[in-house]
Amino acid sequence: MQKDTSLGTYLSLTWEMVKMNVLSAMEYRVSFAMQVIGMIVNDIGLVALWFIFFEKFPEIRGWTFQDTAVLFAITTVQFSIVMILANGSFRMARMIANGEIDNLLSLPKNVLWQISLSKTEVSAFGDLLFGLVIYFFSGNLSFESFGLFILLSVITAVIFFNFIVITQSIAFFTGNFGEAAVQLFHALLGFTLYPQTAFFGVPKVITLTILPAFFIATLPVEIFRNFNIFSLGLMIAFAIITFFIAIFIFKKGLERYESGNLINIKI
Amino acid sequence: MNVIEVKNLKKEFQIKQKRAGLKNGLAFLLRPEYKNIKAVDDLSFSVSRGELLAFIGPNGAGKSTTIKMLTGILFPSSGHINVLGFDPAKERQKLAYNIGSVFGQKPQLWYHLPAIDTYNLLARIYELDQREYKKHLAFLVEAFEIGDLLNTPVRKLSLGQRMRCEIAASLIHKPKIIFLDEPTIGLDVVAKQHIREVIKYLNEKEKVTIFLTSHDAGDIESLARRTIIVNFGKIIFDGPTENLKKNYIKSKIVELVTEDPIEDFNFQGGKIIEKGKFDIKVELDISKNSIDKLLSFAVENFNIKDINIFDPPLEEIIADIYRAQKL
Amino acid sequence: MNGVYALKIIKYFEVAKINYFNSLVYVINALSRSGVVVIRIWIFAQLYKITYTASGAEEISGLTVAMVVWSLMMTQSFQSSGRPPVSEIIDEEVKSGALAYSINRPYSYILFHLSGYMGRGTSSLFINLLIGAAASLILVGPVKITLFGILFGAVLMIFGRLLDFLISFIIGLAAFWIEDTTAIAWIYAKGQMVFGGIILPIALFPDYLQKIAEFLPFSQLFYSAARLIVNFDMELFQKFILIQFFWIAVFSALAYFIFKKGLKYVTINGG
Repeated sequence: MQKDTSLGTYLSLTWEMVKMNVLSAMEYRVSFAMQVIGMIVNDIGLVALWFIFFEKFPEIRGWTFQDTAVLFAITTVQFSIVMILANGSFRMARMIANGEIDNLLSLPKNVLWQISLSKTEVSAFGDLLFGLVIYFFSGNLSFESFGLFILLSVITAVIFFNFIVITQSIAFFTGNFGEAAVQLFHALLGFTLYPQTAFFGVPKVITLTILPAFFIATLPVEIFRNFNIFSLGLMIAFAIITFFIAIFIFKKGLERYESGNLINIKI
Repeated sequence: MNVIEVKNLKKEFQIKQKRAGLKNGLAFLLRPEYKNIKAVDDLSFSVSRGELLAFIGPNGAGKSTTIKMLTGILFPSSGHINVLGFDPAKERQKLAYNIGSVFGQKPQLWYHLPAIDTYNLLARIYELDQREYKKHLAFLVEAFEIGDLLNTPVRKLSLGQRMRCEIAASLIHKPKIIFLDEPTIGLDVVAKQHIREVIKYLNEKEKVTIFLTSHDAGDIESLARRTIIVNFGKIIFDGPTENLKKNYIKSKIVELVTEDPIEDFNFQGGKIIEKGKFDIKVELDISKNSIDKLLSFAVENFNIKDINIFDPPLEEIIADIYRAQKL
Repeated sequence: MNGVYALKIIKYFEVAKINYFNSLVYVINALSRSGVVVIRIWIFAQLYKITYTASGAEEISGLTVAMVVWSLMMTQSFQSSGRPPVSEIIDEEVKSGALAYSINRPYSYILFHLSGYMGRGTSSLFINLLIGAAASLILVGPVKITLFGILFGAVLMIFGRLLDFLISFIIGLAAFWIEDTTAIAWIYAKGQMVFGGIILPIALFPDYLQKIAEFLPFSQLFYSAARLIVNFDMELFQKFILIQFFWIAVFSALAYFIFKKGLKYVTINGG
């Protein structure tokens, strides 16, 4: 009788999957290099933009260029974690619609894990590198700060992942949710990259409840600037809660899929 | 010992039914109507260890649905399934360690990497003992003759080579049952032959139970000792394959290509379907005439350049069977 | 006779219905894309209101907050009319070999794609401008736009789009020598983002950078037209149009040169 797969096995398997994805992408050597470099250039462009901005306007309501650097660092590192370890989750809705997950269902491993690791975005390695470099530009060079930075990046990566799983899992219930999910993703990303103190008013409530942008970008930078154990606890709690919600919705969706009552099921 | 037991298996789908017209369109949004489709309608059969079974039927007959339920991908509406002592719907992952599947249209192998990489990954996914795995892999490599192909990126392999590697992949973990869906589709005659040999070997020497789906009559004839035909979700034939041939294939089509132009072809007992200057197609009722006689006649009267002998298509045989069943 | 007419009416009604539902899907897609536009305008309004308040000024480099938001809205509308990027299309044609076939057709390859580019963007341009204008009106109020501003601005916009086309075209041609032109297209897009006045108007650049940015081609694609419209100035127009002409000349020559080189490559290597 087979025993349940251990966490250790999943971790080492994760490493194998990422390796295979990277090897697979490296078949196209030039494209691989260009993607990584392209992403770095992309990120440099963003930083350059805001550097120019803060040259003209050194401070907006207490927010300086250093703060933008931290924001970028956390956002890009968090983003790259998800893109390296769970890029496949973005394709979930499409995979469901195409019946591609049948193959995964026939393997003896967790389906969500398989979906997530089915793809790795290689340019994310450029992001990761950039995130780390830009962190040092923010001028916080103590071990504690760095540790906090990594911790916050990981927590926000988990929240980001949960959000993706929830929105993509809706495809289990309504068929292909693709286009709208992509829109939502871009809106989310857009919110995270502007100086956060610029937001106020009623729409912020919407931001807080519908999009976890507050938790992904605003809150962690706030915690980094003015450390607050309660806020950190709040973030961790939010990550855990949304994780269980995401798993629950995915499980229910998978059950529905296996009952075969998707609108566009192919008999 | 039965490895598969299916009792009163049923699967129904609800398809949203949209009726034409604007008023109905609105009503549809508010209160959608559902049509009930019986994909699998009270199926019962069992498979014992070491069987090589063909599970066939026209498209939409309920084949894939049944296989999906056997592998745990789909939940049944009602009925019992037991595969190797597991309930596939409830213990899918546990069952997965013991079964393998090859779906012609959905490859297991990673496209840009050599097959060996996928094999190594699978060995880890199935948590195989590394030494056992290496030994078994060597055996598979020899049996499938894929030694030279192991380190070539899969995308560079021909379809036949890829198919051999795919089937090998489904066997890495020494499954007790494998489900083969259209394993020879798109392959040339030589490749088909090779794959069939491998499948036969697996079944005879390794006692692997094989559940085969194929539209290729050649696959079925050369491999399966037993055939189950489904249509409209029901089993309409379950028995030895040779009965299928004996009782249901009533005619053969013989095509001849000649050196010299054909003026008349006066063979009694054969119906001429097509006739060109240098070729002719004759439909032969094999209960009344033998191919032998036709060929003798042809050789005696013409210089034969090429001969082709066709079975009537399987779909036709099945359709015939179904019609016969109805009577 | 009435029966025949009744049938005809029903037929046309059915046709209209089908087209309606088809375009409904299209409209929903367009609306969700526009929703993104509106969100961005809202973000800009917040950002610049606070920025201006923080620096205690009502006007910076001749622009009020309202002008800044309107110019950004227009710049982004102009920019979005350039999608999908020509570089992708040309890249595809080079890779698939379709370019080799197109050469034999009796019209200029480049003009064909230019007209395609101009035509494609026009409808999304107007939709984005319409929605963007409405959102800007609500969020920051109106700006004084003169007829001259619109006329001369339109001139800059058309030449700006021509420039965008030329650069994108050249990037696509790189497919002759490079496997994936996406990275170069990316860099171009980032150049637009930093120096194209898409997020931060060039007028709000620190002085030492402003001159440089105005001279670079990026700001001449979409920003200069928008800038002129919100606050028309004849001298500004003349400056911008000269810079535009300069870059158009440079990139036209480059496009021609690279295109010829690419064709030679095709004939030598058989596409």
